Amino acid sequence: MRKLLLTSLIICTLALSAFGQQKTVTGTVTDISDGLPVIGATVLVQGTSIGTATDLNGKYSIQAEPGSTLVFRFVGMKSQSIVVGDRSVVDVTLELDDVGLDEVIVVGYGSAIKRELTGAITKVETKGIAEIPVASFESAIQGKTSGVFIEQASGKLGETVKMRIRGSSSVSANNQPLYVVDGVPITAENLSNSGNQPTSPLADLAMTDVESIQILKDASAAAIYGSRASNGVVIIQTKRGKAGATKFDVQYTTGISEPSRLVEWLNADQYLELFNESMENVSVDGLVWEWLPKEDIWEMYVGSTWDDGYDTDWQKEAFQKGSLNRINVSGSGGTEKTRYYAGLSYDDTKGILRGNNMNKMSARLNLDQQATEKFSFGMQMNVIRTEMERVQNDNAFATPLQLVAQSPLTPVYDPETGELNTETIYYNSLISLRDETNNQTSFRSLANIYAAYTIVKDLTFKSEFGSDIYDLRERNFWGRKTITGGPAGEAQNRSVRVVNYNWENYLTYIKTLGVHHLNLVGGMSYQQSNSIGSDIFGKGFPTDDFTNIDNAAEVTTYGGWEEATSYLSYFARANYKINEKYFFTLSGRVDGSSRFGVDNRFGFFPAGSAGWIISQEDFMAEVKDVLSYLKVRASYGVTGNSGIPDFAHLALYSSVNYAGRTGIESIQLPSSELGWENTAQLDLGVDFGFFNNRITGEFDWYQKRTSDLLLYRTLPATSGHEGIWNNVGELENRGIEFALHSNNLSGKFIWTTDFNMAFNKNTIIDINGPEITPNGINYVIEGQPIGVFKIVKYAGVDPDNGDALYYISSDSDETTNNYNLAEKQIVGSPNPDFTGGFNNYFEYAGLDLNVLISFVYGNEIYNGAGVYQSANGDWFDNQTADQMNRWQNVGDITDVPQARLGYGNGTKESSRYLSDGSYVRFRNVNLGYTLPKSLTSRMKMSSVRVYLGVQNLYTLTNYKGWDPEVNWVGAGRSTQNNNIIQGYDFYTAPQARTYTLGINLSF
Amino acid sequence: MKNITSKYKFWILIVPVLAMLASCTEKLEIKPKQSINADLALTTSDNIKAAMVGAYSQASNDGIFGSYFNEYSELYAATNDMRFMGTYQQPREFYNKEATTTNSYVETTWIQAYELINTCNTLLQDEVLAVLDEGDIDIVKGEALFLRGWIIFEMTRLFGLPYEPGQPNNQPGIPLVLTPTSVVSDAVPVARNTVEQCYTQAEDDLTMARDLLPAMNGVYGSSLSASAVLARLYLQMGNYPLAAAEASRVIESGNFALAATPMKAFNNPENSVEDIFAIQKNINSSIGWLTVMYGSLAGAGRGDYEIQQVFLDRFDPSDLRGALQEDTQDGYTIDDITMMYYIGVGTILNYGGINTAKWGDYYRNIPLIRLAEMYLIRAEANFEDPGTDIGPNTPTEDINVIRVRAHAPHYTGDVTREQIREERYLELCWEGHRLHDLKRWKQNIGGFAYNAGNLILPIPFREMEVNDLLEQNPWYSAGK
Repeated sequence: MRKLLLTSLIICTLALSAFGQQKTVTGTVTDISDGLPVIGATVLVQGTSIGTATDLNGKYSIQAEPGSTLVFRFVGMKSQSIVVGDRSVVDVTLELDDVGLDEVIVVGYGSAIKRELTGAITKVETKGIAEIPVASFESAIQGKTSGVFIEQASGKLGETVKMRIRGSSSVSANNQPLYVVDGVPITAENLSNSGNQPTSPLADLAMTDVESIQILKDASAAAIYGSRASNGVVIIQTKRGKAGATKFDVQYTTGISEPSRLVEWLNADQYLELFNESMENVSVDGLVWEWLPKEDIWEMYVGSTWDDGYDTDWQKEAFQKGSLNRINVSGSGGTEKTRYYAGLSYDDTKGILRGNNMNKMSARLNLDQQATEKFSFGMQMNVIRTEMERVQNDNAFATPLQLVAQSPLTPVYDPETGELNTETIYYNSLISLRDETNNQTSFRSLANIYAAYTIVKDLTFKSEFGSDIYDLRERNFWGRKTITGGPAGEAQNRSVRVVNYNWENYLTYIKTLGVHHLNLVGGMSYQQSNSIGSDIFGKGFPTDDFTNIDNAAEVTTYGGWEEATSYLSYFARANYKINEKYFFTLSGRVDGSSRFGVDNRFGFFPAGSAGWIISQEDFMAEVKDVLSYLKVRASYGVTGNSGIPDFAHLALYSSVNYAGRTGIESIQLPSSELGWENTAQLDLGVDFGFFNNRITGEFDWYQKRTSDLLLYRTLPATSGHEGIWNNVGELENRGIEFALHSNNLSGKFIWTTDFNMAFNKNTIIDINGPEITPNGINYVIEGQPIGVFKIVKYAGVDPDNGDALYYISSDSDETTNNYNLAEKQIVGSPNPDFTGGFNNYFEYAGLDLNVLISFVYGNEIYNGAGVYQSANGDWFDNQTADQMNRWQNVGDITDVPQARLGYGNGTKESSRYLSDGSYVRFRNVNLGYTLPKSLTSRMKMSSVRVYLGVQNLYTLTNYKGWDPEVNWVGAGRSTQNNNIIQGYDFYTAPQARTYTLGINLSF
Repeated sequence: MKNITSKYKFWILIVPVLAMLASCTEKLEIKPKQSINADLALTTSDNIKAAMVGAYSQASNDGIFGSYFNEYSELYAATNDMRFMGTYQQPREFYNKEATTTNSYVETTWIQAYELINTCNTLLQDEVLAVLDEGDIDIVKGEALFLRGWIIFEMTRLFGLPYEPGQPNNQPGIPLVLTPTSVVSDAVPVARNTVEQCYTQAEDDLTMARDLLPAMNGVYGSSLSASAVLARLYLQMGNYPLAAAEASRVIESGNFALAATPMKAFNNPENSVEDIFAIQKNINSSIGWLTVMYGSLAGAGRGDYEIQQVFLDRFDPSDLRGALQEDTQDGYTIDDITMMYYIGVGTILNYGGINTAKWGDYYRNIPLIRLAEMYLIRAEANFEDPGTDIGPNTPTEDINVIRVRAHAPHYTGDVTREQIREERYLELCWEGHRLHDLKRWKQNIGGFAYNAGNLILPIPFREMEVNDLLEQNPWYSAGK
């Protein structure tokens, strides 16, 4: 350390002494490929605003100091930086920049150069993701990759994020991709209790440690992961050290957050007006429901404060001022033989919902050692602690956002006692926020150790052992005054431990013979994941001061479980390349899993692909100035899905407790032939570059057909069973993807644009049985996309009498006011027609600005809470402001029916509560300033950058609820329910708008 | 030399790999830990008896005996005696007498009823019974028949149009499934049997159970509880002599007695002297839905079913069954409630209305058949069929037994039909009888005729979708 300081001091002194000695530097900039002068290239003195451009002969002249660095830039060419030193003439040759084309991409069991890829793999830009104020890396890459639809469930912290790569490929089995971190398929599914929304173990990863994220989309790329690759594979590599002096990076981000959108509710006057009218409309002789006068009904349902003049904004009470503080420190470096990266990360986030907080700590050490010329080994070790203060499920009275249902006429605090008001129409969930704890803490260690040995030249053997040990504790306490904990308090202790380990052994053989280049990989892997858990509820606490389960008088519910899955696999891949122009890949994997019956335990997943760089051909030479790069690719292969519960193939009995005796009951019929779900995918792609690759892009068309669907098939319940896991049915995803990268300007002012867009059409072809619906709203219907909305279609309001009207059937314009006479019909889909992102990056004199916009188009959202929130004053829940447009007089044209208290006029589930879910969102805006080198070197820093960011700055949408990015799956869910229930809103919190301020220091 | 070392190192790495390749295949055999394979479940006497206990657990589910059977009856029958105050759509539909085929209550009932039937069918197989010790065979067989007969009876009167005494009763009841499903090929579509066939099956099952089981059988189905259900079934069929006979058999057995006060018949941690059959609940049981809907106490209940003063006015002022406790306070639990009705104080929801104390705690037993009902059946049956005077009491005496216990003035003259019916209403209210009684008496319900199509449940939409042989009830077949 002392040495480092000394060195810094010397550098600093030298830099200072050189300061102020200006001289003229001249030179010529030429193109390396043809030796011709480059006209208009920018020459800059780094860290200053001094700059010039080359003339018609490629010559330039500039004032610079000996210690300064000159930067040469030209569109489509690689920039160069040269230290002036004592030279007065600096000639430079620039070479073509194949932007990204020579990038190294990590594929399964190896890596490849982007230009040589034959499959559809996207490497996600990870620069700056550590600056984005979101909980999980998936949220940070939203909108950045084509064909990857990422949707957050809600604005609650740490919850599962939906990721669909090229659509949903299954109905009942898992639709999330396989996540592989440093070679280990990690535990990614929710492990929290099913009474609350699912949480994401992926949120544990510190984004600052992430070096690269690549997404394997087609079969050729993914088939090497065989039985779990149908939904695509996300490969994450963490940072490794580079030989050289130790480099320290310190990043500090702080921020505040607020709800990105709010909903407008009735105020007290409007509420009084609407509900008085609603009561009058159902009164006979001044008696509501021929029963009681209005005042009595007010008193009974809304409480004694109804006429005391309160006007409470309950929505405000649900939210808090959020905040974010994140600090990342890392050091990396090494020698030729030993390289290391060490990172420490701390993140404390206070959510926008009251009582919702998250705190993450992560420490990582990555070490690589070249022991001998032939032998190397290394280790990646990550220890993480994540703590969350959660709020209850969206469908619980105790969740903060259900406060909006309260009447504005009731005060938050009881005027007499000053305590929280208990005389509200529904349970006052602020009591829960006061008297509950919902704490979830996870400890996790991700460790991976490898050894590689070069047996003979060209042949390397690598063995890699990885483990992911995940330990989750939930500790909940509900005080005696809460809705859950009465009459004497209740507590829950729940713990889950998942030990997931993976051992891989493979050989790699690389040989070049003249123009022929061969790369062979072959090996095996074994993975086992054991999960063990227990859950205890206790009731009856002396006082609310005692909150530990040990203080409970009685244990009410208890449980324990143990589950396991294993996979045994053999895989091989051959890459063959001729003349740097023609590329071929063949791969195959044989996978066996404990999840299937003995007969169908093993599956084979082959894939093949080919690529041709046409632009390398001589006949393309003439158009090379315009079309500088052109490659065509084609791939076809089969991947699998085994994302179903363990033991689905067995006939099982489980135990039940009755009258103090333990009984057993049949829970599952046997399905001994249960096997893999197969997805065959064809992908045709073109990669291109125009104008010296100033504009590059890729285009893909694909067709994914899933057969032998792992379907939880509905059985006649008269059999005593609701369903069975079978391999039946088929579905298809078909689509196109398009990504474009453009260097609009380079030089002093840099401007790049990235645009991506993907269209996916999902079609259920065959489910060999009845329509499937978990909620009576989202359906699986043959010929339709998954999760399609099938509900009674609302036909507006009868102008003559204010009755709600419904269409009788889909092939008739006839309407009825009798809901039971209206048939359900398909009224929309939660699957977007297209999704995409638009990113612009600007840089000028140390200032940089990045603006990321993401968009989703063509999907619908059903507001499950609409029957309460927008029900024309049918019940005393506060109503959305638009309900004031209710029908009042004969002839009124409106779509809000007449208010009739308790009569259910138009309040049954119908397309009345369905709306367009399209949106354009300013996902992230980040403005940064990198201090001039001259200044930073005086601060003994190699780089200093400060930045200001806004996440979810603005959302353009027609959706009337809080947030069009919504997906409430509810409690007691299954994978199938998660797949089908999409685009469903139920008092679901909006995303946060977060303003951040941060600084990055490197030294 | 160096070359040799390298090769040596290579083998150090490769040998364990090869060893692993050989041993891995068996690692794919993973056995479940907290469940057992069905093959094991029915091969030992202990497991079979445990499966019998499992059947009671299934019977106690909220979708059937645990709660919904009660709620269907009381919600459909509700007029001005009880109001539904809650926000749940499903009960509101029954209360409004306009159920929909996708109502999740109905779907759950259907699924849970047939789960129970399948369990009974599984236990009734000869090869399963043969595994048992000689002395256990009749008991398991009798209990399985008891539960199957009872659930068929309850389901038939909810899903089928009323049983009409003396008529052919060809209206559809429910599908009678009498063989077990152990593999998926058994799960075939089945058609609905007629109401007549369903009643006959229920009668046969219950009669056989009555004859196989011992008089008393702990908290499980017994000969006397089978008789009690038979009494209820015969009453519903208008077969008064048999109804009176079965009821009298229970009363005169001397194994049961009325609890000291009406309140003492409810919210007991163990069966009371009055319980002929009760669902067993304890602190480890799941939260009882019946209490969620009816209760309104600290930490128990939403108080959605609010009893109206006009109903309490029917009771004589001295009648304990109509007493209202008005001094309730926050924090009150069922142990603080001394009267049959109380002003709700619930923490979950609180409308401050009148709630019944019958279902006041999640973790207390739920009486399904009480001795009081037997007196009422015998009284009514003997009254309606004056020729057969079964039992030692006259109808008036039987009614007075009930009234005396309730501190209601006893009748001095002969009771009338109206008084018998009124007594049944006052004694058995909120226990799931009202709808079936009104239908039996052919009385209008909320403006609908007793046999109106909207007063029976729809065949659930999900079931109609998977079973082409099912016929929907006419009132529901117009729209889906």
